[in-house]
Amino acid sequence: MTGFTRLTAALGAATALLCAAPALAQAPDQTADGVEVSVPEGFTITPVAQGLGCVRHIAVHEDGTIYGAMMRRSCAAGDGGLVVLRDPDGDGTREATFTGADLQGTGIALYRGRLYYGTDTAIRRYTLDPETGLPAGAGEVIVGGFDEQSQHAVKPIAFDAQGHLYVSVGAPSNACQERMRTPGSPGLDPCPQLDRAGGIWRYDAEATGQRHTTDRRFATGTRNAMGLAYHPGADRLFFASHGRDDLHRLFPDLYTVEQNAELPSEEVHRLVEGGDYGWPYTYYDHEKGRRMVAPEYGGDGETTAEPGRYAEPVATIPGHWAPNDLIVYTAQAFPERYRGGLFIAYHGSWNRAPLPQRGYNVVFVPVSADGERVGAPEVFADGFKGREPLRSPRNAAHRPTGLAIGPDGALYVADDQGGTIWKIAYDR
Amino acid sequence: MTAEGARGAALGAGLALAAGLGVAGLGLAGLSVAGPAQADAAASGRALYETHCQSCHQFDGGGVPNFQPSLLDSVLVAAEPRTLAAYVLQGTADLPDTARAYNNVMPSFRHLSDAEVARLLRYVRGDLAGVDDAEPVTPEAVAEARAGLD
Repeated sequence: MTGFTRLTAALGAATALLCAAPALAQAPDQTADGVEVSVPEGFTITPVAQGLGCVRHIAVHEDGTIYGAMMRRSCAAGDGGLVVLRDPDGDGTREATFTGADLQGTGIALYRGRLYYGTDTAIRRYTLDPETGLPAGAGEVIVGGFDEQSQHAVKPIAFDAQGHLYVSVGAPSNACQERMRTPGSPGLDPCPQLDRAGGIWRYDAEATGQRHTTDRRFATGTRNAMGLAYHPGADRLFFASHGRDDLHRLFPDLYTVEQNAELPSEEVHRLVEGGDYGWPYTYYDHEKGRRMVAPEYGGDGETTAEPGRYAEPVATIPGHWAPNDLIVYTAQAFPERYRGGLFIAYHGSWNRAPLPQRGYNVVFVPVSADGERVGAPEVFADGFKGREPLRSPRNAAHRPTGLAIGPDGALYVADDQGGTIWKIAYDR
Repeated sequence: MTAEGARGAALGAGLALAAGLGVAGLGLAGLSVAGPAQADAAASGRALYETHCQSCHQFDGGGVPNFQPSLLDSVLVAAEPRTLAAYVLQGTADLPDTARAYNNVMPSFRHLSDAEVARLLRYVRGDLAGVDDAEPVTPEAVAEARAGLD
């Protein structure tokens, strides 16, 4: 009974250490491909769908229907960028229907009974047929006009309680260098990409025909905030963002291979209007417990960023784990300590070579009902990758990509490598 | 467990185990590590690959689906040496986003010498991709490719 690890972070300093917790995992349930995922004692994990293809973010309707977005239509197991999983005959087995031939993306959410889907260039909305659960009609554009880009192109979305839609717009580069991913190339200053990307935008949740514009930028300096969710008690969003890559390859005189594997931190933040979260000018070093000046902007691995200018993270996770989704646990089915806390799905690293890849798990960050962090981040579900050590993400069995809470209070976890959706329930 | 209790348990576990589990130590076991010293002019093709290519294309050249292409079954890797060298020297940063099939950008490697590019590509073609290299990549071929870009 091993494999249950815990990330301990000093409160305030937001410093993460990779540690093992007391043995808490029960005998894990086994998926069809033989991969065992561990969850804490008292919880069960069961696959509810397999072989879907590259399912990314998911949403669960109050009737139990699961909606999943496909980042590429070509990697879906069926014809379409939206998978709908229903159990119309009540036999306990969900049947998958692929639809949305014009869709591909990652962001997906249910809001006031309608389905919102984030393609790379627009946030679209669909009414749902009450009989089939499938989108009815061609849908409509809520926000359009996002730039086409290859890097960090997907559009995660979330809603608050005041009728706003939040869209994370990833930066179209690694570090806003003059020459992309080129050793020694300086950063553009100011970084022009921040006008239309590298931040979180806020729009009206229901007005149609809105256009992406710099004026609606809510916060800046988020390189690729893949997970964002509204915390009702705090009345604000939390988000998790990917840190930059390639410190060693781009600046071999400043960073070792080992530092490159662990740095920079993957950051978890509260979203504040007007906030600056530091990209591309800075990065966070959880080993030092400080925000650092990025090497493209004159940093040398030791120079601290200007105090007070950038937001401090709520929590940090070691580099390259790739937070792909974040939710606030707003249901009641899990024990009290989980309520109001954050679950984060880590897609898993690809760029820690030659060290083994890490992440590929679901982490829990204890947060109080009013939005204050009250405990250390801990690995909640682990073993998705199916082998240890893992040298390439290509060889991982599963890569967690999406999270959602069902009407029964269970946590659902999606995976874009094995095409599985699991249900994690508390049974005691 | 209360929130306060959870915090105490987590911090306690961290203190107890921090001394016994070195993160870097775990990761380094049994693996070779390419440092900056290996990136000099005398570096082998493998060392050059580990320094400049491995983080994206992976230790075995297999790439990462959707992010960086595999080099193992690549028409480009098996192409005529000047074509391949030109692609590596130029990178994909100047291509429009919509013209790239993978999410990430390959930088230009013009800062490597002709001899380094030749050694690197012979390693990629021969050792990783198993290309029957009837026409091996030479520094002269790389120089011709470079001249064609300038």
